[in-house]
Amino acid sequence: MPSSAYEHLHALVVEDNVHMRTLLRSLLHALGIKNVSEAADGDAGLREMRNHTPDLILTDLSMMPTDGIAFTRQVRTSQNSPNPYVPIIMVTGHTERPLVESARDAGVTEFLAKPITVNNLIARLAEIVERPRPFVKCETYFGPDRRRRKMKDFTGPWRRHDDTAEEVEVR
Amino acid sequence: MVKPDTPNAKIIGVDQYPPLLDEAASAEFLTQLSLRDTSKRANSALETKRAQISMAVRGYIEAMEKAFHAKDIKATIAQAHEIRGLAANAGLEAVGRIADGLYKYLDSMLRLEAPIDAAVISLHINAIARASSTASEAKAHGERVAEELSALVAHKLQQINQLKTKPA
Repeated sequence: MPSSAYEHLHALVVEDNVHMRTLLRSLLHALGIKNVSEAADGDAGLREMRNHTPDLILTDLSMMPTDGIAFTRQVRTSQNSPNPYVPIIMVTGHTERPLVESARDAGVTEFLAKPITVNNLIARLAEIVERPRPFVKCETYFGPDRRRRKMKDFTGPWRRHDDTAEEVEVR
Repeated sequence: MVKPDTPNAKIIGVDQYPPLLDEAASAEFLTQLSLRDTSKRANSALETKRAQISMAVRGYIEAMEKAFHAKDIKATIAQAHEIRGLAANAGLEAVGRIADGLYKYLDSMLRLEAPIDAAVISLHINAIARASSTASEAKAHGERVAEELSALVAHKLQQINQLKTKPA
């Protein structure tokens, strides 16, 4: 019987390096998430999702044969996805803008930079719990709302019924 | 400001999909995350793993040296990938940066199908071996070397890109 209401949370760690997987599992345990399953790449992650539907996913970016971006896209858009709304934290040392944008556009919820620190992991988890984001569905994207901050000089493109010049948030 | 004629984005509000936790559990989890004891426990877990990760990184470094001497570029790049992802969590930041530079160089060369300069690999591997020393002097030296090698890789990639984009 779980002693806390959040202890039933099930996290999935998708990471090709066994040491990093173990590290993430230990950190999640220490933070109170006791149910953690593991997968070594995106394909294995999708299989694991079908066995134990996770409430939260932490995934690496660079993995073979299926990387974190393709995995995230599958989770968000596949008709067989057990939970397309699951929060996905991408754990990555890649800071190149095109890669980060690709991951964001695949539907990643949060990024956790390597090296992993306790404070950063706590901040990402708290963000997911405290400020869940609406989802956006359109022809080219399904995932968490990518607009997070206001840009007063934003001039479009206007894609939403409620877009106005005065009040728009863009990430 | 003109609004679109046919906006096509459908917004699914946070109350329209299953929450991660209900309100009470969310509050409890956030409290748990904010406790000093929680972060202390997690930092202790991180510290416990540090020694294991450090040993693993040293193993990858050895494997990378062997792969390079065997002229196995794919194995070299695979080890560089492991090192760049792990080294900083073992406190070997310079090692991680140098391995990241080596990975980017090899990955770019392979994607561009450009000839790989063995001297560039050799410089990186030697620098990684030196920077993996625990001596603080070596650490500082490693950071300087990481910067110099990063500049070298940038220069090499620029050269290759110029050659590739030059009109025939």
